[in-house]
Amino acid sequence: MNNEQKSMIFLSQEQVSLVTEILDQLIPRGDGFPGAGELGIAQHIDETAGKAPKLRRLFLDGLNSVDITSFEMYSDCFSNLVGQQKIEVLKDVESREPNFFKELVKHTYAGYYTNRKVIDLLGLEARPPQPLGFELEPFDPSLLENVKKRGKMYRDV
Amino acid sequence: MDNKDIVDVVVIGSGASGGAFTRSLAEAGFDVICLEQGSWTKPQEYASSRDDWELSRLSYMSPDPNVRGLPEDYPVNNTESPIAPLMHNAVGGSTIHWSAHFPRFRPSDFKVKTLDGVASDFPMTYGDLEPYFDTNDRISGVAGMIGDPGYPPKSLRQTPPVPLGKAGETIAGGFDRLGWHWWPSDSTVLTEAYDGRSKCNNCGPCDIGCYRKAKASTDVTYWPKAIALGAVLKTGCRVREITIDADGLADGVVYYDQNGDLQKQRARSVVVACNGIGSPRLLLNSTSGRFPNGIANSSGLVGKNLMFHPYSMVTGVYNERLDGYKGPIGCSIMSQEFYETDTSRGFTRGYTFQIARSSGPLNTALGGLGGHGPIPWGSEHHSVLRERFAHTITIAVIGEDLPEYTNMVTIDQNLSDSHGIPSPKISYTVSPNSERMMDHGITKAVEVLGASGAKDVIINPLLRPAGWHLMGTAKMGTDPHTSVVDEFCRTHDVENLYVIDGSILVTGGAVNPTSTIQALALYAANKFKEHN
Repeated sequence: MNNEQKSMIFLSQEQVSLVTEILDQLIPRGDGFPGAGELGIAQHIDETAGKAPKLRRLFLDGLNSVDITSFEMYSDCFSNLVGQQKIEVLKDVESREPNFFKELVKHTYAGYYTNRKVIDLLGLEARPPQPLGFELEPFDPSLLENVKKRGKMYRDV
Repeated sequence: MDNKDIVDVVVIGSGASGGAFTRSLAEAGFDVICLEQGSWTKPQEYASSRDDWELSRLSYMSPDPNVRGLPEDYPVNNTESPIAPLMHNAVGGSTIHWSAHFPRFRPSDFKVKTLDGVASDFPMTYGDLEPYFDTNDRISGVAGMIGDPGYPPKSLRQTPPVPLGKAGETIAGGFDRLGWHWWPSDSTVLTEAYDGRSKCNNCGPCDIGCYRKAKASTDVTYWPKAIALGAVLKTGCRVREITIDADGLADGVVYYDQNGDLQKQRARSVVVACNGIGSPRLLLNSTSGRFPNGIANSSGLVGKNLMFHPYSMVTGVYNERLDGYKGPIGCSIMSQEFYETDTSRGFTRGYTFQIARSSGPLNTALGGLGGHGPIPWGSEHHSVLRERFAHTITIAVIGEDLPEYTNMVTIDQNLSDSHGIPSPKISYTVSPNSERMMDHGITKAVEVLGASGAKDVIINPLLRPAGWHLMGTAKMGTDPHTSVVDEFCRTHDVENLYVIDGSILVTGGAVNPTSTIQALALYAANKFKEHN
């Protein structure tokens, strides 16, 4: 999925680029997994916050904070920073705008870990729990032999 | 406002207790109407059959009404409580999101004053309730096994225990190594087809609704039969207040119907089954010249003595893959090694270890069932996720929370639901006794996780979204000065007004109270039939 080819609900093209850069710091490419930005999770953020006015405002204000902090700390926009500088900016925003950051992380993880490609990489079948469910061995009553030897352990009244 | 024809009984709320009570009365030929503020849900439409199933927990299937914020929900001011109350509003009430863990209270739970000198005794014994436990088990369908040394002998369970999977067998081995009690939990999750319902296929997320009707939410157990017996269930109907006549008897309820129009339902008896927060809210909002502080509140105890079960969550991380996301999420085994009072431990009463499984990748990333907080973002992210996903066992330490007068539900006049009805406010503090109990439980949970091979342990001393069990706010007893309802669940002040949900619990035990609440509702229904 290429997020830049989709129409966004509330994020501008510049904001999509910024969110994508941020997401690639939150869940970076590595260990055989794609980064959250490159996977197009900005689209999920836009769809989720686009439906919730309060969340949308929180995200817009939060993205502004990332930009402002970036200039305050390194006199440059976030996208021009190198990796460690981006992390330092995000840590600063995390400490000063905890509500925004908490929601950003939550919705990033939400988009990422419901993506079929990620599910597949985790070694799971890329399907919902139903209707197939999972096979498990029936309960084995012989496991209870030790406990049964305990005898009664409740109080009479 | 239309004045509906008078009925024998109006029941408010269609959850665990409302469903049980209504069916019992309908079976005896009473003319019963139940008003439910939520609506029917269709099992085939639950999110468990969709790719985005884990997202539903963050929105419309969150157990927290403040997160869901649906029109049928009412907001709860929980700012003065370290535990957030949870509930669901639909036909079936909170049994829709319930894990279906189904242990009974133990005999000592009914007599804590006599045995341990704390709180009060119930006005009945375990033995008095036993026939009603059995009836409820038969109607609900219990997966389990008789012979648990933690309980008096029980009747045969309807289906075999839920499968433990590798996670359950691993932690059971830890209990065995320490010589501690464990037993497969009584669970209302069918392991064989029963009474027209399918068996569980171990999909996992019982908490977002059961797709197969294997879980005994009352919309698939009590309600189809209650309706077939003639009971009427009206959905989308939110009760504003209980009204009284010139003699001080309840004469019905005023409610908003599906169109938002105000209606009056007249009734010879009124039965409140709105849970331990919704019921005191309704009673406190039902004021009149005779009851300026809320109906049935001459004792001043409506809303007081709110009990949750404090939950400490202790998660073990294992080297081997355990695949705990397979199988009913909250049902596996439990241990009651530390259930009964032993004063040498430094606290009164005790706790249960409920072994939970684990969940999908998203829930794991957000902190898992233990509420341990999101795993780190950044360079460590993938390695921590890999370490935890499908590699954990979580022990829920469920402590008995004794009643405290200062833990309460009041009305917040500045907060209201979509009909403008004032909302409840929760004021709650974990007591020193409970804190000592939970500390002990955490230490012992760490010990058993270690004995089962955990390489690392993560501790959440007090889970905030843990207010599943809402109890004590319209306490049962024989003295009108120290209780709200009598031993038949009838309010002391208004002889044709009843409360039948978790509000009436005198003490809360240390297990999920649903089984006991339903047994009490069936007991109360039987007494109602004898008296009316």
